[in-house]
Amino acid sequence: MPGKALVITSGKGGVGKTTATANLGLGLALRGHKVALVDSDTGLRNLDVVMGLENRIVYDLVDVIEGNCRLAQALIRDKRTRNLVLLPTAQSKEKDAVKPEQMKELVKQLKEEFDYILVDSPAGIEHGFRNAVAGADEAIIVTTPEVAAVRDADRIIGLLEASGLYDPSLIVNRVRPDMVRRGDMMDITDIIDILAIPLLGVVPDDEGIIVSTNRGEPVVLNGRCRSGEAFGNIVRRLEGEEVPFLDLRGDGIFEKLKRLVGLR
Amino acid sequence: MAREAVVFKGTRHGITIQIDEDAQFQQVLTELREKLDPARDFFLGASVKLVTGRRSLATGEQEALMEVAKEYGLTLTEVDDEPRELPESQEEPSHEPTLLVRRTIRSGQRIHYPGHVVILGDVNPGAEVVAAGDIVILGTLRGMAHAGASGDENALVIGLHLEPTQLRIAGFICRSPDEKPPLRHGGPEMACVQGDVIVIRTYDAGQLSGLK
Repeated sequence: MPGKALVITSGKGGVGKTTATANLGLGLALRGHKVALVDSDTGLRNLDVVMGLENRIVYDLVDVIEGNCRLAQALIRDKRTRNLVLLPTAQSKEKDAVKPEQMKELVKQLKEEFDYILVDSPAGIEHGFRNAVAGADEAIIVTTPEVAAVRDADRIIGLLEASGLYDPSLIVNRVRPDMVRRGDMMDITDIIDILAIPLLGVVPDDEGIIVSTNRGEPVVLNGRCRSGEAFGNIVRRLEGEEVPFLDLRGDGIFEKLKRLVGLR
Repeated sequence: MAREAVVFKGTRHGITIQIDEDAQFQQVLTELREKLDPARDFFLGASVKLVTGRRSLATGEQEALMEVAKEYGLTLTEVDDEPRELPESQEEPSHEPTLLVRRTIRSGQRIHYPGHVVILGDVNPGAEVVAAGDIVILGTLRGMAHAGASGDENALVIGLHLEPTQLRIAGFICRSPDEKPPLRHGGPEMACVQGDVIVIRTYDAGQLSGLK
């Protein structure tokens, strides 16, 4: 059975597409699936850095498309699990070095060998975005609880529909539990109200995720960290498991106690 | 309101401009300009049919109308001056063109229609719905809606919740107050022109006939 290609996209930059791709990919691989990660952000590649695999790159996506190497030669095996490979993109080329049809063909080839293909999309709605969605079967939208990010996510949902990708699912990233508690952050229910797509997960912003991203060690490896736990839950939901959402209101023991005695 | 000398109608075949049979020709010209002016973009490139009823146009008159149409980017494709029986009753004909949209209109998407528009979904911020007639939204309006875009001040915008970025009816424009208004009760809401402002109030089917 051929695998499933998921595109991770957002419209707006800096919301955590690459971090999400790395964590979902590693999470799925650790659960025994064969996973290929594809960085489609040609010219601004990041996924290799977040995965800690930058120094292993020899060939890239543009080399494969231009016929400079075979696809298998460009796939970098992850250092933590043999189930995961990364197809990096070129840093020194322009985005239009790749055409949507070529991308589609490439993803099709990957689907024959892997269970999941996760395509990390660039920000924006231009050529790079069209490449990223070209071969995808499903889409995951990443947003943050900010009005501008939600607006762009809405635009992206419309564009995905136009290219035949219906019913994307949503990850709300960078949620600050303390601000949610105080009511200073856009409410998750408000976001769902506007976007009207199923929620795949809510990922809190904590120190763990920043440290791990800089180290090239996806946070999903760290089960004690709330963001790592959140990504772990998303992976399980991707596989169809029902996992309750993390309660982000109270982290401290004091809040937990208060809830326990019914004070909030 | 006095009887209008020029009436715009959306039909299945496009836009029709009906000219009152008894009105002064000069008044017809003035009113045509007045109605086209607030909706300049809307008509750009549209082709319209002119219906003059029992009035027969003098040679100079038809040219004058053509001239005005050209000025606003319209093409007069056909002039119909056959006398026709107008229905006696005040009821609007029931076959006005209406576009049914069964999805949410998202940021960057645009619905443009020379008739009424009914949307089964939301209109999100950054989205636009422009209609020559009424706009009915079975969902929440958060984006921009322009009803009566060809100048019909009686046009309505009706929605389950109206929280528009901007609302336009004919030539009137309003925006939501900068502070969040207090939560209104749960029922559907309706926007219409009253005096020279757009007001949003609770939708009441019983009031509709009085408005028109």
